[in-house]
Amino acid sequence: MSSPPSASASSSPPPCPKKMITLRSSDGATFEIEETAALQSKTLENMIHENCASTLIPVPNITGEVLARVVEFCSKHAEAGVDDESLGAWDEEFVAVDHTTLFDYIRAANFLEIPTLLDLGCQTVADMIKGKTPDEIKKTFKITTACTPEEEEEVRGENQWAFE
Amino acid sequence: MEKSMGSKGKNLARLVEEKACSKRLQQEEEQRRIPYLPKDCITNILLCLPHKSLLRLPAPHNIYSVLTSRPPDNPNYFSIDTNYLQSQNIPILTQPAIHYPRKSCVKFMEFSNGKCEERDYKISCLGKIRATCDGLILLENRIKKGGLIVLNPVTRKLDPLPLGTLCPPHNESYGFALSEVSGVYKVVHLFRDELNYFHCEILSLGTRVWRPLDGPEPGLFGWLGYRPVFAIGYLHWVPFVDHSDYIVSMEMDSEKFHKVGLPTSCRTHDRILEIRGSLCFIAHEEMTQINIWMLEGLSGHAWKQTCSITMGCTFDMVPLLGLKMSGDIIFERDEDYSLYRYHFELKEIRKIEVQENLALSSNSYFAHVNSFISW
Repeated sequence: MSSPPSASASSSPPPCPKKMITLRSSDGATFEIEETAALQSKTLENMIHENCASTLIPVPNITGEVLARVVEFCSKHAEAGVDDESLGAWDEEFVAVDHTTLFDYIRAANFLEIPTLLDLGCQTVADMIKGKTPDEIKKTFKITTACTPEEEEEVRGENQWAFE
Repeated sequence: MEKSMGSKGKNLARLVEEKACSKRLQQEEEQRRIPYLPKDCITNILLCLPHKSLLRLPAPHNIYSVLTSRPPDNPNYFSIDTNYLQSQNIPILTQPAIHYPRKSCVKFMEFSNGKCEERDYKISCLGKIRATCDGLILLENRIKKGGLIVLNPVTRKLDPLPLGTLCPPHNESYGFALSEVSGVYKVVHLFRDELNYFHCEILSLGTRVWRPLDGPEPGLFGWLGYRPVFAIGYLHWVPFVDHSDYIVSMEMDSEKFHKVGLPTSCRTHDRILEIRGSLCFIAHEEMTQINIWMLEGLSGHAWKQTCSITMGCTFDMVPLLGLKMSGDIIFERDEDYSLYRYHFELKEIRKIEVQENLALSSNSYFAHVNSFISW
């Protein structure tokens, strides 16, 4: 005697598992990122399209701390249903970091070719420079010397007649 | 034994202290530095800055140094190879104002909201502007007779050019243009010798040699008083002071001269201009009408009359330049040097409010855009 077929309350198909990519940072930490989010990076997009993304992808130029944040950025920007205003506010908070971390984001975005993060980072640095005098810029970025006195003298000497 | 153990211990302690001190110094040094940024990232950052901020910054050498701790490849300048900024209103360079002791300064005029304001690049120089192209300026260098300098006033990159053929200023004309095929900027020197024969030599930026060219044919040119205009891949000259029935065009890639007929004769207040990528011929017809003709290319194209200005124009309005974004045309009245703008969309000419004491003849103006173009 066969058992009756089990009745199920709904017959909706199980959700498709999201395709994940695994990245490994320069210090050995691994991070998973959804493929849709990884497409924010042109570098990763090319690897996905050439079927090179099924195994672990090493990202030798980026530390774990920075890569974690970059993955977070890409995931947020790949989320559906987020309005521009909320995303803008989120971005603003994302780049409210010290300049060292900001430069790390820019380098990572440059390496992974993430135009949204690169533009955001560069605009943030530009906003930090805008309207400031050279001394204020040096203070903001904690630079003690811009160039050696010899270099400055060389430039001034060659262009003395041209610049006031 | 105990004594040697004691001295060994002291040495060890001293070594440890020296190492700790050295490590502390290294850490302090690293804290003073900021992480290295690739050059194209610096480019992107600078492109986000308005030109006013750039002008306030020190020389590019220091811009690079301020943003990164790694010394630049060339300590004298930081060159950026990018597309240039398209300004809403094209600045126009004015001839340097001459101040004693014979030092001049390079300024530009910016048109916006019906006004014209003079702004300063804070660059002093010793000579007149001879030509402009894509944000680069060709300046005389009076320190050396016949000397020329190429300058980008935004990036402050400058380069003295080798001496070409020496001749009096009224017997020569300089053109500055881009060869689109090779991507190289070229300086063209057209000049007349003592026997009234016209010659031409050309220098590609980045090289140190002036090359003589074939042509122009005898009789093609009558005078060199009108500056050449770069449009549709050619440098164009109006070859006579009045009644020019043709223009002489030199293709920047092949470096060959061509004679191109004009739809009507070019008179003293008429001009050719580059407007939105095309070559335009702006000609007065009768006393109160100005016709605008356009040529989109030299081979297989004909002049097309695009519009006529019939209201508000006078016979002595000289076209100065076309604005890149809107295509509007700036005119100057010969009588009193007042400036006017023809608005294409509104189809009307309006007078531009100019600050006082700014009255320069049309020869003093050069069309210019602020850019990061390098060579």
